[in-house]
Amino acid sequence: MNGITVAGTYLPQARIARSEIAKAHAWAISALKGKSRGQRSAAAWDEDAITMAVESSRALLSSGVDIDQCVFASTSHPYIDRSSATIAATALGLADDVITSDAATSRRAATSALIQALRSDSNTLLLSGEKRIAKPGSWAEIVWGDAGAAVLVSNASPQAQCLGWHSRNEDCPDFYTATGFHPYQGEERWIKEQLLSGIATPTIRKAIEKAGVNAADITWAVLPDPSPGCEKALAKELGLNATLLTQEIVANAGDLGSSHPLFGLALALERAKVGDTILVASFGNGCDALIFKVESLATHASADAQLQGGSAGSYMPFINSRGLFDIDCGPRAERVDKTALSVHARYQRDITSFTGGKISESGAVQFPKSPTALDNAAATPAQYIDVCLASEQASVVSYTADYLTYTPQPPFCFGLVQFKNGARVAMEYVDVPSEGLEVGDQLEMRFRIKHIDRERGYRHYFWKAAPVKSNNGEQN
Amino acid sequence: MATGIKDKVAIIGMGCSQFGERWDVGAEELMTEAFNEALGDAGISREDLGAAWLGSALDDVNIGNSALPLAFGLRLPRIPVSRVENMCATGTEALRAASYAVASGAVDIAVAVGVEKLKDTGYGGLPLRTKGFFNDLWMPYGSAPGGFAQLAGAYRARYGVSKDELKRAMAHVSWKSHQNGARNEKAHLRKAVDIDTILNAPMISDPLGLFDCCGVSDGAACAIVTTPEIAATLGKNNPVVVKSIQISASNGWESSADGWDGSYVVNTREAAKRAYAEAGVKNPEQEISLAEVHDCFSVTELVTMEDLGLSKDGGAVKDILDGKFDADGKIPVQIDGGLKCFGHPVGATGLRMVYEMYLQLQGRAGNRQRDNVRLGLTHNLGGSPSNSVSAVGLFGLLD
Repeated sequence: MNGITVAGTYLPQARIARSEIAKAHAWAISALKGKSRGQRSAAAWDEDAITMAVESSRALLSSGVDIDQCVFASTSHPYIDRSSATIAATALGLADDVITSDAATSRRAATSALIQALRSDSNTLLLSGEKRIAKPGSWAEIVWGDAGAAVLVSNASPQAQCLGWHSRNEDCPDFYTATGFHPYQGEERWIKEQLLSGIATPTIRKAIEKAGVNAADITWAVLPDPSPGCEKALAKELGLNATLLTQEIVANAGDLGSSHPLFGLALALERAKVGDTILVASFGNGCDALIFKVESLATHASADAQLQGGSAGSYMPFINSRGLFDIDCGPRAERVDKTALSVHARYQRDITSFTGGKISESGAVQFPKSPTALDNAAATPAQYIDVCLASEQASVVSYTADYLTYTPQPPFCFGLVQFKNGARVAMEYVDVPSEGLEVGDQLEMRFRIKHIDRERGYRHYFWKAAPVKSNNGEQN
Repeated sequence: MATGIKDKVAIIGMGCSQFGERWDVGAEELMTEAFNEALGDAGISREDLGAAWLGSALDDVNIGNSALPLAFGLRLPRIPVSRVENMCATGTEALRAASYAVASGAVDIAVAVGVEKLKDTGYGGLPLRTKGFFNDLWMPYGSAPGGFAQLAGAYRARYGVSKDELKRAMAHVSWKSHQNGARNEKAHLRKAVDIDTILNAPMISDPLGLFDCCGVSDGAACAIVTTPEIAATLGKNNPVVVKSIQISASNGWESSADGWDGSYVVNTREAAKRAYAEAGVKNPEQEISLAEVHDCFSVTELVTMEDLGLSKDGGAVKDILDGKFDADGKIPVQIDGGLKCFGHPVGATGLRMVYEMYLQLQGRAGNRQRDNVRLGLTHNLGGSPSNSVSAVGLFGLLD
């Protein structure tokens, strides 16, 4: 049977202190002060559910599993009708015959997809990402966080086996986000005392029963916490002695939406010993619950370091980059960023996966490929051997922080990047420290939005270079 | 075997409009201003012209594509007219085309006009431009100062120069141009600025502050060229002649291959090498009387001193701080104020540089005239250091 072969996570660099958000709204909403402990993760303007999910799953591909399908779960897909899974699969360099599908419109999207992946005989890369936009001053703005998380589900050396699961559907929303509207939440005590007790508790109990374990023996638990105190109340009702992970995640990054259970699962797998059991549950229009048994130690760790890492972000850039506070960036922001779809179609696989080429094994690697090769004018594009640059070591050739070019989060940092394999590419830099970069600094690649066509909503994805270990000291 | 154009092309008339924020006029008036001065200077009529070249770099800003803006603007007598564009080397490109036409014998007299009308965009700096449908999919949208600022870190890394030392040399470059521009009545910026003001200016593209960047201007410049023989029949017996005009264009090596360290401009070195060979210059540091180089940004002028052989590699910081390129230095650079202060109407800039050489070689440069001017160098750099078009021109007297 399929199990969890490996799991990965991604948190964006910036953390906004909740006290700063509460302070910004204190003149009008004093009640936010009660939610001002901890910090939330905040995606940069050029990050969204897709980019963060891709980042969370890049390290998983080294497991060597031949992936059959790629499933993308989110409640903040950037497009209604352009597949996030397909963009992600392309960025990750998956073959064009990998089945791509998207799970959406449910905070249980990732766990529901996980149950299906575990039940299937396919090797599934399950990604999830969330960048949910909430109204300034709302509980959601202060409590939620942005993140990506992924698991590789296969029967190849699983780190954890699923002992049992249970799922229940109930159309009793504790909160909802109608299309075109901001999230709206029901009364907190009602959620805690009625909904969770009535729906989550029996569902999780059933999963525990099906798994054949004692609740008190479960080692780790990732429980839903839609309003304060729910996690503890649930654990008490269920009779758990497990280490509860949700509040730790919320305190350091936030409620991560559909990515939350996968992020929690990855965190538990990082910390678990062989033989530990992990409960993962999600809630929203029903409940999903799964019980895993750990069979080997994690081969990849990212969640713990990311939760402890990051750097302080500010509230004003945060709401500006989410389109909630539209500052006047001057006429240079009037640049037209329309993407020619036919041109995108022609080059999309190389662009999205950051694939260059060389015309012989010893030839010079170049990006992009060109009709006339850099080192052999006689070569034709069909002769190129693909070389993916996304995971190549690289360093700074030149750098500037440009305050003239429009970008939603100035300055616009860019320069020439030298790859160890010989390729050189002019690139944007991201997650740059305030002191800037120097020639020779080591870089790694990040999948990001290159530009957004603000008139048509189209977003174009490409890769940018970040200083090594910029992502919260992630260990790959 | 190519013999080059040294001494085969005489400049018999030049004109240059007032540069600056010309809210009062459009491109046609600017071209007319420069052309009428050149025509009067040459002592010919427009009916004597055999062909014309228009240089404008930003066709979508007021001027337009094709020959027609020039043909209409100057009411040319249905002669062959072509528009050329090669980024910041556009003006020099127009002159190169006119010079080749004359040197080949295709026409007797040709005119090159460069013009740009930038101040109707509604903001400072160059207009926003797409890099093309494909390049926009991956190439960063850096500004012009962003592109040239890259030189600074790379230069520091190569020569072990501190940030402060480089910044002081860059500030001296801008200080010098402001000193020079203040004395030029056609210049856009005519105010001397002290070093501290330059050093403490707001950052544009690290480490380029506001005063490290040239502004953009409205303006036009014009040159009328013919053969020395025809010049003589017009009473110009020792005319200013073209010694060389060379252009080098990047082929992608700097930006796509592992080799270039980013601290110099490959194409400037290549264009200079060919120009010196064509003109017979053996030792540029000794033979060049003065230079107008593409000081779009202070750091560009700094590395250009080395690229042109006017400073030893790694020696530009010291030479600049020692005043070697000041108006009273060994080789004045930007004695007319340069792009920094004379102004930078892109399509006109190359011809504006030649205009200064033309005046200096004839002793007509007024309060900024240097003694014993024998050989003047002009230099343009379009694009960015990693993807550039560089032009080097050399001008002297026939005898």
